[in-house]
Amino acid sequence: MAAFHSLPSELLLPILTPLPESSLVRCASVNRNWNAFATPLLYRRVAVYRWQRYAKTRAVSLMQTLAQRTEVARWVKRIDVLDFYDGFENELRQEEEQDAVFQCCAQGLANCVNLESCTWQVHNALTSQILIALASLPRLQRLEINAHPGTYEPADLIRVRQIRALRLTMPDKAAIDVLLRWLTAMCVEGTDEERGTEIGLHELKIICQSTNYYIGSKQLTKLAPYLTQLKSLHLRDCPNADHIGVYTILRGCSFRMEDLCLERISPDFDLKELATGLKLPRLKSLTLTLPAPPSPPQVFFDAILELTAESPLTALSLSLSANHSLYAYGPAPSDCEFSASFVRSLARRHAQTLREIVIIRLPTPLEAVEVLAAYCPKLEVLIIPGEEFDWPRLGEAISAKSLPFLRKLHMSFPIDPLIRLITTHELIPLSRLRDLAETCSSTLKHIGEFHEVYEVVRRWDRETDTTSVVLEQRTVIPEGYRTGLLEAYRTMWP
Amino acid sequence: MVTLTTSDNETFTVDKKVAEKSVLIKNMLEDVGESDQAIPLPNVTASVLKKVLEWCEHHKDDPAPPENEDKDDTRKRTTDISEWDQKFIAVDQEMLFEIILAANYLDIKALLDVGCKTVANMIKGKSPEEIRKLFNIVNDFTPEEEAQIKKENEWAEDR
Repeated sequence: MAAFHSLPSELLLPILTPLPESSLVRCASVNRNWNAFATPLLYRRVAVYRWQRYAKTRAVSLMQTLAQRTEVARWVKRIDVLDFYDGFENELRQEEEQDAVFQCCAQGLANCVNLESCTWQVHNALTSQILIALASLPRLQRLEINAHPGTYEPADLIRVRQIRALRLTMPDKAAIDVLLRWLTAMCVEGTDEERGTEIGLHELKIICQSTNYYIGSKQLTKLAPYLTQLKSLHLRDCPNADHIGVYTILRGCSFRMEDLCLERISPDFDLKELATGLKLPRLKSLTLTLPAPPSPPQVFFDAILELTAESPLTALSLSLSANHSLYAYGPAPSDCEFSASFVRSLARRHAQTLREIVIIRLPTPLEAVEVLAAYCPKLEVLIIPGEEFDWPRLGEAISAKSLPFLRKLHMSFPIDPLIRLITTHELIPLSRLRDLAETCSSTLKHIGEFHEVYEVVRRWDRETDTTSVVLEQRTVIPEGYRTGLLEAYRTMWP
Repeated sequence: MVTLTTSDNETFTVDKKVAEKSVLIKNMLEDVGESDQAIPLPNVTASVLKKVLEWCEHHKDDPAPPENEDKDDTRKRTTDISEWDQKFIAVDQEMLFEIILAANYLDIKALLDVGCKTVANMIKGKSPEEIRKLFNIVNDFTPEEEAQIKKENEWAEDR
C-alpha cells in the first residue's frame, strides 16, 4: 500500500509550495531531500518585519546566512528588511561591531545574484557599501530604501542605475538633490537599441514622512523630462508638491500612467486644475486625499470624474488625512462624506471595471456602501472606516449575493480621532468580523480592522458535518505601510 | 462512453466528459480515435479509481484551469480546499497517497492539487520530528548538519 515514500520526490514541490515560512523552516530540517525542496521556497522571498518578535536579531541572522552561504543566497529573488539590530551593546566596540554588521549586509546582498526586488527600509542602516553591492546585481528591478541621511554618501545612490522602480522613504535634501543626476544616469544606462524607448523609471514613489525637507513642485518640474516612462507615481506627505509639479510630470507620461497616488500633498493642490485638459487613458488606480474642510468636496468629486473620464478605473482610494480630520475644524460639514450620490456617478462611469474601493477616515454612510454593492458587482477589495454600523444591514449589503468576488474586507481607522486615542486595538470584536466574513462570498480570503489582518478559513468538521468560518493567522500591517492601506494589501497579500 | 480497466482487472464504464478530466486518458482517446476498446490503467487499482472517478464526476463541469498560470513568482500561498473536496479527501493516509499517485499518473492537476494541499495541511505547524514520525521518514542528517541548518534558518523560525 502507498506510504509517503511511495510518492515521487518531485511532488514535494507542490506539497511544500503553499506553506508559510514558519512551516518551511521546519520542513528544511526533516532530511536531505526535504531540505533540497524547502530551501529554495524558504529563500525565494525573504522578509523581516518590525512586528515580528526579535525582528532586530532576525535581520542580522538572515544577512549572516546570505553572506556565508552563496548557494543559498542565489535563491533569493526578493528581500524585504524592515527592521534591524541597532542596540550595539558594548559601547567601546560599538563602531567596530556596527561596521562588521554592515559589511556582512553588503556581502549578503552581493551574494543574492538573482535579486529582483530589495526593500531596505531601515533607519540609519543604508551604507555606501550596501549601495555598491546593490549596484552589482544585474537583475535588480525594484529598490525601496529609507534614504534618511546618516551612514551613506548620497552620490553613491547614482551607482544603482539598473532599476526600473524606486520607492524613497524619508529622503533628505542631499538625496533629493542627487535625484536629478540619479534619474539622468538611469536614462543613460537604459539607452540601448534593443530596449528602444524603454528608458528610465517605470515607477517612482516618494514618501516624505517626518523629514525636515520636502520635495516640491520646483524639483518635480526639473525631474519631469526623465520620467516620461512612468506608469506609476506616488507622492505621499509632500506638502510642497502641488498640481503644477504633478501636471508637469503627468503631461509627459499621461498615456502610460496606470497608478497615481497623491496623498497629503500641498494644501493648495487643486485637482480641478490638474484634471483640466489631462487625459489618462490607462489609469487603473487612483489614490487621493480630500482637501481640508471647508473646501466643498463636491468640486473635488467632480474633478475625480473628469480626471478619470477616459480611464479604465479599477481602484479608487480616498482619505481625509489625520491632521485634517473633520473634528479639528468643529462639526463636520454635512456634505463631507463618501456620499451615495457620488458613488452613483462613479458607478455610472466605472461600474464595469471597479474592483477595489478604499475609504479612510472619510465618513461613509451605509447607503453609499449599499449603492456601491448594488452597482459594482465586480468588487474584490472593500476598505471602509470602522464605525458603529447597523451590522446586519451592512452584512446584507455586502453579502455573497451582491458581491460574489469579494476577496478582502477591511475596517479602517474610525473617523473620530478620540476613539483612536482611547483604543489600542480591537474596536470591532473579533466575533463580529467573523460573522461578517460568514455572510460574505466564499472568495473572501482576508478580513481586517485597523492594523490587523486575519486569514479567513472555511473549515469542515468531520464529526458534526458542518462548515465554519475561522479567522486565523493574525498579521499586523508594518508601520511603513499603515498610511497606505491599499499598498499594504497589495504588497503583503497580493 | 469510455471503458477503463484497472490493474486488478476491473472495468469501469464512464462518460467521456468524466474520463477526460484525466489528461492522460484524454490524450489516449485522441490517439486511438473512435474505438470500443478498453483503456488499460495498469497503475491504478479499482478501489482508487472508483474514488478518483467520483471526484471527476463531481467536477466534470468545472472550467478548465487557465494554462501555465502562476509562473514562478506568484506562489500560491493558500491551503484552502473547497468544502466538497475537504469531505472527499477525508480518507486514511494510505488512500490519500494512492489518490495523489493516481492523480499524478492520470494527470488530473486539480485533484493532485487537492491531495498536495491536504498533505500540506497535515505538515503545517508540526516540528521536524513530528513530520518524520507522521510519514515514517528517516533523518539522514548528521547532528552537526542538522544544527548547522537550524542556525542558518534561524531568522525564519517562529519564536
